[in-house]
Amino acid sequence: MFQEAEAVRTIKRLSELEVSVEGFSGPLDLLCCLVENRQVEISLIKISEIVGIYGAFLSGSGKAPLNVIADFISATAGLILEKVLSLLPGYFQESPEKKTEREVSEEELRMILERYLPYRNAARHLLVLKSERDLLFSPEHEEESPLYTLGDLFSLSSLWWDLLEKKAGKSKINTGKRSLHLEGMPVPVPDEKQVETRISELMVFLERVKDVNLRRVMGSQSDIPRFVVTILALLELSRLGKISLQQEEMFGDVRIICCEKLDRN
Amino acid sequence: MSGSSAVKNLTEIEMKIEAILFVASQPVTLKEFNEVLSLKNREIAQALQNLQVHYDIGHGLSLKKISGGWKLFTDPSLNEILSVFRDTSERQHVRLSKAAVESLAVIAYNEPVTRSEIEEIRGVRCERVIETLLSHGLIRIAGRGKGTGSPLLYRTTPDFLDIFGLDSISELPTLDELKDLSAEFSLTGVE
Repeated sequence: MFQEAEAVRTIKRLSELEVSVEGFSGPLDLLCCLVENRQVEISLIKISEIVGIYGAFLSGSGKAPLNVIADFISATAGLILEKVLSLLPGYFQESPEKKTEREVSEEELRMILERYLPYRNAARHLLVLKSERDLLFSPEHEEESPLYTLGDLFSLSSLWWDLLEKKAGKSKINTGKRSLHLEGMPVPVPDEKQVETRISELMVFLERVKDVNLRRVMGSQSDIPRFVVTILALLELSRLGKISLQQEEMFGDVRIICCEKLDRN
Repeated sequence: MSGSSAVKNLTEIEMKIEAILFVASQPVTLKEFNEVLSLKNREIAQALQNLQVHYDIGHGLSLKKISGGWKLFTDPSLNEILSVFRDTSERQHVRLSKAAVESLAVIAYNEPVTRSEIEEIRGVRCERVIETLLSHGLIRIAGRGKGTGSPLLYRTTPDFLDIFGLDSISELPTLDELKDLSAEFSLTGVE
């Protein structure tokens, strides 16, 4: 009973008091720093008590921003880790190191401090720069868009197309059989279908021109997919004995000679 | 000052640059301007300078070169009113402990640097400080060192430059210059 009453009094005192420790993000940050530097013995600190008091302080203050809670969790986790390490055997194996530190000569210490001093000044300079920078505000932008997986992207793009169609007045209920044809993008056709179509085209062409080279067959349509489909179609026609293919030079043009009257069926 | 300065119309390029800066969430580099405007760097730089002068007189905004690019800010003199208007000071301005700023200084002057090198200079352990700096995005892991155990190397990030209002690391004074700054800091009251 006495302990509870004492805790309530402490919380009340804390909620009336705002502690600001210069150079540190808050009292917990200071405590963590003292523990890390071995200026406070962590094994003597009751972390549960700190958590209880701070939690009550936050709920009592009525405002608990996410960043403050995150800092609190991070600091508490650090304290717990230090405490666990201090309670485990072997923790004090660091003591020889400490002994070495104590054995540093005056001359060495002076050199260490000389090396450290510019950085201390640099930190001061940075703090001056930061205080000047903190006077400037810029527009707050929304957080970056979340990342989507490929599946999400498909449903997202479907949603966009629905909205676009709706805006264009072509609103129809999404049947789930959306055409994926995009302007400027070739409609995907199965490979075998493409080769069959190309064979038919070539047969019409070769009926008129009995002896021709590949360059002429390709004409201006020299994109790689079309070239591959044409080669496959020619090889198929050659396999069927309807044409003969001749290449006199390596990497040279291919001569296509029609062997018989082509039967388009 | 109000009403005393003559109103100067912006050129078309300046207007375009102003619009880009208005919508940009990050500092905009000359290269980015170039990609959009297809102008010579010299022309863009001149327009930016003109805009900077334009904002210098009788405007609530200011144009600054920061973190390798250009960004629009509010004028420093409006700090108080903006803090009242919007509770952004907490969100926009990262609060850093003295230990964190000191560690940042060591990293900035020695990058890429390992944790043990930072600890050697500061004389204290820096594990938690480094974690904090990483979580704030002020430093990043920049590979591993060649020493025993391949320790992680740390570097400052563009956010570091932004938070300290720097255009680049080279804007910082050299360590030799900093050796003699103690007297200056005590005069300006910086602890």
